[in-house]
Amino acid sequence: MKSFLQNRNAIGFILSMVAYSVLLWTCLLLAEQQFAESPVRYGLVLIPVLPLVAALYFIIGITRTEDELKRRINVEALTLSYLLTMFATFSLGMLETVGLPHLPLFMIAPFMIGSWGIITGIVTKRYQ
Amino acid sequence: MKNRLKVLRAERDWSQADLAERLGVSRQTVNAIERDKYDPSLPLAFKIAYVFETTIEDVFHPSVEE
Repeated sequence: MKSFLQNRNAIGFILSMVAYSVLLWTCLLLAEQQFAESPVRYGLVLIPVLPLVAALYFIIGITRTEDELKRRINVEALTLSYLLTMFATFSLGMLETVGLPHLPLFMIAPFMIGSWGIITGIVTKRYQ
Repeated sequence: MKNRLKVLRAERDWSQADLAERLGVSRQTVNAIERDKYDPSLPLAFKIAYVFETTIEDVFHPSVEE
């Protein structure tokens, strides 16, 4: 079986996340500074969603090519990441009602994906 | 569940990577099965027995506490 880095879907996922990171900050800056009064800003801030859709496509591709153990690890890690994100966003939402500064919603996706990656490493240790 | 994967593999002088390639799984999966960290699915168990040219019962047996 090919190693992760040789996997076409893995490379696509990494490139998608790089594109998301670059487009996110670029489009936000442009929307705030160059197009602050223009309706163009609405379309501009949605551009980073496109690489996220691509990342989702490649994640599905990765999952379908993985063997049964890696698929189990993936499901466990995604479940835990989902639960962690749910508790974090709920807690932050409650804290915002008592004065904590509002955090932008677009931080949820990278938080969930980042926690998924970290938790995958932790879950993998259980099977080693 | 206990297994004799490591013994059977050694008899044939196969590395974990060799066995993984024959089974179509990752080396990590073979390692996890050998260390009793993971019980394979039934199709994979049948495939393991087929690769070693033996029966499932010869490869796997329940651990004492089961």
